[in-house]
Amino acid sequence: MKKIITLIGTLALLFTISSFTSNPASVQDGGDDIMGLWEPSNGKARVKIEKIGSKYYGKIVWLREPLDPATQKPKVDKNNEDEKMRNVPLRGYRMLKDFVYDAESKEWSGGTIYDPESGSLYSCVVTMENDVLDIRGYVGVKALGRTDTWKRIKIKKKN
Amino acid sequence: MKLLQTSILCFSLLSLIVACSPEANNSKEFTINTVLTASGPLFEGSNTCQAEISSNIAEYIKENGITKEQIVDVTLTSASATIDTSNLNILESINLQVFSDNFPMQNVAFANVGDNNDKVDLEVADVQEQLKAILFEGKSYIIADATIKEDLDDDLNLNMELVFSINYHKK
Repeated sequence: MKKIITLIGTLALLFTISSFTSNPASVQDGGDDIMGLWEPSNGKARVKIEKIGSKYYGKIVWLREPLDPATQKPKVDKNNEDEKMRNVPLRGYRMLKDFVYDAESKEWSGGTIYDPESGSLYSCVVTMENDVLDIRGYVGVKALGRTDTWKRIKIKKKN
Repeated sequence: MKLLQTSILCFSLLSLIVACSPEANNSKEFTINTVLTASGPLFEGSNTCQAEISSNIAEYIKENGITKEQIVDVTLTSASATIDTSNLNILESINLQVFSDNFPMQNVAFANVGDNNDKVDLEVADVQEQLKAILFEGKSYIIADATIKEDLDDDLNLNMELVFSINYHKK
């Protein structure tokens, strides 16, 4: 009887320890690896990918040319189909939206990518290998899309 | 004679189509008050203020004798933000977005913020989709991408008032 009590006590202790040390599913399965700062191949912008709720979003946080040459004012989403949203600044704009990670295929999918230069929205799937993202945008059929490669930007932490 | 018959038939058909289409002819106002927070310290530029909300829209329509099936759509009609006095003059713009776990994020309102404004009225988007689905999902997220002019050591809080119009047809 004493052995059973000891066994139950040990199991309860192990369970408690594992509850406090275990991470959420997305951390364990690699979904959160995408979070951080990324630069598209054209080097025109930097995009910060973050997680809100259970989905991943990418926001433009830096532009190589932040001012519109025509107006000399900060660039805005002038190609938005909704006229009322054309004053939204591109710096801070969420160009990647609603990605969900699939641990089996190791893909972030179900999301969209917005091209502010044309105002076009594409379905998108993202894969990652060695701190490089393959961002594939497409309309309808994935096979007929175009892939861009984004590299991770590492930031030195302030002391 | 044949022309008259055809005209009557066309008119009857059109009337039938119009009568059967789910056009909303009634509306109710539904308000959500929430505080969107970005935890400091914050850097100059765009920061994410967010709140997870459990909308009680289902209870609200029940109290008003409306069923979900009667609702044609839900649209945001106004959005305003009250800014803490400590954060006055630090805000440059607010871009408001909503989404839920099963429905995509969409921009619903935006404002450039002038100096000394402790209350900002955002311009509401013309294109609004799936707000009904998002609000009825139970748990949804309201996000304000707030651009700030300088670094901020403290939290940034935006007190938001969102007024929705529930557009429905009679039983």
